[in-house]
Amino acid sequence: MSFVLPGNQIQVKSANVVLGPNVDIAPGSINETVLTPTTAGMLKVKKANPQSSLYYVESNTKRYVPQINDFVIGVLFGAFGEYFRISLNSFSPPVLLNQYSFPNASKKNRPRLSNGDLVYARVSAVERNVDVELSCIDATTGKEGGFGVLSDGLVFDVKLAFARYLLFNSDAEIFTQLVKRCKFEIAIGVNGRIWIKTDDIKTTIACVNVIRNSQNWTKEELPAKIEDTFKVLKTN
Amino acid sequence: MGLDYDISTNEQNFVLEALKQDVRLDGRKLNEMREVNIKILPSEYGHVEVSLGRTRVGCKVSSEIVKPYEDRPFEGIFMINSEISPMCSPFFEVGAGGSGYGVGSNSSQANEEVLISRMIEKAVRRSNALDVESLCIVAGKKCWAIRADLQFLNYDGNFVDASCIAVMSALLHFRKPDIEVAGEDVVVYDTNQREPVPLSILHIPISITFNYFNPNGSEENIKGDLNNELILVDADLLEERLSLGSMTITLNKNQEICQMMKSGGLNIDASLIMNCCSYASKLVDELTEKIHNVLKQDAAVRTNKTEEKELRVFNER
Repeated sequence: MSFVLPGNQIQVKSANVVLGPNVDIAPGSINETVLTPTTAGMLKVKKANPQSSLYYVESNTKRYVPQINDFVIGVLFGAFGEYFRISLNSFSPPVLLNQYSFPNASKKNRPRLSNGDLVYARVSAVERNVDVELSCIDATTGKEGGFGVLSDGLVFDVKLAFARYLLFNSDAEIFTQLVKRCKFEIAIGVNGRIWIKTDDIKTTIACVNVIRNSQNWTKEELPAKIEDTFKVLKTN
Repeated sequence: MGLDYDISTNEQNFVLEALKQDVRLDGRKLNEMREVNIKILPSEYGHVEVSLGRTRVGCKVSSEIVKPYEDRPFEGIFMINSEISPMCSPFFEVGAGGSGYGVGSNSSQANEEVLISRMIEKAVRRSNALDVESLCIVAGKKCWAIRADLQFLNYDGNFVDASCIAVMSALLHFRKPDIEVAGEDVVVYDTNQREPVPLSILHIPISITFNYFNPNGSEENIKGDLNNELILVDADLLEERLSLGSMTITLNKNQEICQMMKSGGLNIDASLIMNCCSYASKLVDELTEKIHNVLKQDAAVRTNKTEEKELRVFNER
């Protein structure tokens, strides 16, 4: 793991390379194995499969750019034709969600959604010059797979790197600490949105504050800070 | 351009439910303000940064000598520049409101920006917080022009209250260079030569914004006789977006109302407005106290003890 900037050259030993996010083949070196990052951040290397390794650059941003197969939480704010219009970011161009991209949806059996609904979905198509498209069907099984409308609960924004970290590390310290206190349902979108639902309002607020603020907490101070946040809300 | 914050129905319902239980998303009660933090930048006079939770506003006061307006020869000039740049939030567009560039533009952003600017203008300038007559140097020829530039750094609701505190503490902190008038000639002394002089501030107006919610929907407010509107102080961005109406009251320590603005929204009973006023005056007292404390601390840091001792007429023996 090292810090890289756009323009840096990353020498790769074997030709079996999987390009991850923010990494490209260096210009003029198609046959050689030289990569270059497209953004500043930490270079990470992982084994993708026994033969090849995955190269990607981890960096933190606030604005989400859709990538294929990302799990995202969007707000529905319109429908036209057979599409729903979904917003993944405030102040960003909308993306589309086909009404038939729901499990068991047909002309007779359309999903019933209204403006302002929250949807958990997968980015299914990203093409240049064409609107981004989402889907609520699991690509591997063709079934629901946890996607769909999120009802009740509360949604809030976090930084993108943090959302990714939470989504890919379900054993994250913050979660192991939080499950000791309450039961909750959670959906994490890599577009920096987290939806959480618990049994009562005060617990939800406490959970939201804990997760949002834990972006800046160290592992050691985590239990004490969680204790504080919960205590303040319970005494109120 | 029509783009707005995405607010889901989930958030809308949740906020209302939480308010009914007297909690807000950041754990405050309905009548609590966020923590006000006033920071005076040490390098110069009249540069202040105020944060209200995550809302941040900077204010820089500057002065110059100009010719007074023809119709007001005995008065100085006081201007507040409050253009909101997209730096604080993409919600605000460049030149949408404020200085009148996009007069034709009819977007809600532009309206909001104009509303914020007008409110600050009314609260501070038109309530005569700064004595403009004391800025006159030579009648009809020369006067001080005081300019307060507001920089909106981050938007999390309630710009008006934050900028009011920022402008007032910057004005209180500002020092203009000392001058000497001989006939028509004016000598301006460097700050090293003579101690600069503070502005004459007549009173400290402070704005408090209340937002209204009706737990039974806006229809009940018009038709029903219940008066159980939820009133909250210092709304953050989400609450501000979702609220059914807001009211800004500007008061000073003497309980004089300088300005009151309630543009549309829920109908509120007069008695509730009276309650708001008396509660606001309590908050204003605390905030005024806070501003004075910060200024006092800053003055203690700035005075150079040894220099002061040397300048004293009497020596201690």
